[in-house]
Amino acid sequence: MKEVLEPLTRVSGVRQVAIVSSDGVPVVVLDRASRSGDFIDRSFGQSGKPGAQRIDPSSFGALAAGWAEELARAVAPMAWDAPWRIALVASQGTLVVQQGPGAMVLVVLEVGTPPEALAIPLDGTVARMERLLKSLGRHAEAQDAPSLVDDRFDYDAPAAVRLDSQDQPGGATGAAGQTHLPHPYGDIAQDH
Amino acid sequence: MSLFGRFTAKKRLRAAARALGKDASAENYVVLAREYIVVGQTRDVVRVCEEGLAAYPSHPELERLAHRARQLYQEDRLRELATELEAAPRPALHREYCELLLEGGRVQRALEAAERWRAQTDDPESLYYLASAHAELFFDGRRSADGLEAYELAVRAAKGMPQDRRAPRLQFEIARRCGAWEEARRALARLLELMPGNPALESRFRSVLANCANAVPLARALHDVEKSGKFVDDLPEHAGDGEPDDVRALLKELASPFEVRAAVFLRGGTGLVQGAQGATAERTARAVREVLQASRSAARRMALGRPLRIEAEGAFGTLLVSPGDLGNVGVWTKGAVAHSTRTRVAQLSGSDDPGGAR
Repeated sequence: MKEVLEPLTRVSGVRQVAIVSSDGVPVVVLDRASRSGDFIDRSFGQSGKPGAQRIDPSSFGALAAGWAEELARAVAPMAWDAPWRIALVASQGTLVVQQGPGAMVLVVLEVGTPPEALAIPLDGTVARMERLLKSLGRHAEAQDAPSLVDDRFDYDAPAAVRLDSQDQPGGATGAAGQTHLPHPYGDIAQDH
Repeated sequence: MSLFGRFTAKKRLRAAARALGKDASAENYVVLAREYIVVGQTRDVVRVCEEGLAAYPSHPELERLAHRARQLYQEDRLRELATELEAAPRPALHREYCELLLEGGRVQRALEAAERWRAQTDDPESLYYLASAHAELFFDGRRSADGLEAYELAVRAAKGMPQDRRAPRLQFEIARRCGAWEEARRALARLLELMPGNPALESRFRSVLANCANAVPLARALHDVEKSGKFVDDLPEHAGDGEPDDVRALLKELASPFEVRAAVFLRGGTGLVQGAQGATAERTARAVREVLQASRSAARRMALGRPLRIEAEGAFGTLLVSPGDLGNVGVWTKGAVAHSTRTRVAQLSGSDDPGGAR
């Protein structure tokens, strides 16, 4: 999943890039180190200290997702669809949120970097996410397993989980025999 | 620059200096400053502009040149300092580096520089610059975590540098602006110990003492600032604003292009909507207000500072919201927002977003 975000890290003025689920759970977070300028993976709470954004990535993801939801609610009376891209240009940085397939791409930019410069790279990122999900879906079908893509987008449909095996993609069995559905991107993030 | 180019530039420089000697007009100051720019002497550009501004205060071209020259000078000096700091780091260089960054408003870089200084030497002065950077972030973004961090670092810096006035001054500034009068009184008492009998400080101490009866703890005061987005000394919102007639005319102009569906101007509890009518107008105005409210608090919590512009793109078109000193302006367009529309929005809202009209 990191590869999906890497082209964005090469855009000048980018401070942090992340993929966050619609409910704000961070899937991949790449944060620019202040000294070297390299991007550090903070997806699983590595390098405990907050980076350039001065805020814990998981909190940031949740706050950004919350803001996107509030904005979608605010513009709902004006249109049927939620906005696909929102940008908050502020005095200490700029946040751009792009709606992707079942998740959001967040980019934090340095002060003075115009969010318009990211429009094309963000569209490219979303296209890469879609391709990745499609290829994973084909792979899962080939193994006679339920499609990840279908599970991800149709939350109202019954979850296709095999209770007899712990190795199934998209399912895991808890200690007390209870079935928990992991986050759709969980496995993908760990694979890469 | 070639040898010939340098020769002619110096000749022009001498001619410009002679012309200024004969007639000390603002235009001649500008000509001389420009000649110094050509030869790359930024320090002299600043000097000439300052001299010109002393004679012709607020001359726009001299002000612009002085500002640009100061920026260039700072850039040069920062580069020099960075090189020197790599080779032989010492407190004086760190201090100048942090101060230049803070002066230039590059707070994030100042924070990183002070952090590096602290990691290298653990000098208490580095704590003061860390506190200053956090305080700048707090004054701009009003995030309580920044304010608390700044105050605590200033307290530690004051302990490490007992004879230094800067740290207690910073403590006082943070506490005063958020209305934590007890902490402000303590910082002032410390400053009075360092500057006994200072009349300005004594008078401030008396006024702060009078406020102490209604004091709230620092953490609560910081939280209140984050929640309301206002410091105790902030002027009421839109205290000095333009004429409503101007607003109506500008709003009409803003909504005139074919691609603009509606334009909204919000000030206080009133909204003016152009391009939409009846329930649609009300819905649009409410949407703009909600977008603003949500974005203000979210920006604070996400450590992004003050919102300057919000843009939402979707199947509905684009909604551009610009909060500013004169009011909050929202424009809803069918497709992308045109450059001329952005310029008008920035003009109407009085926004200080440099990229608003990009």
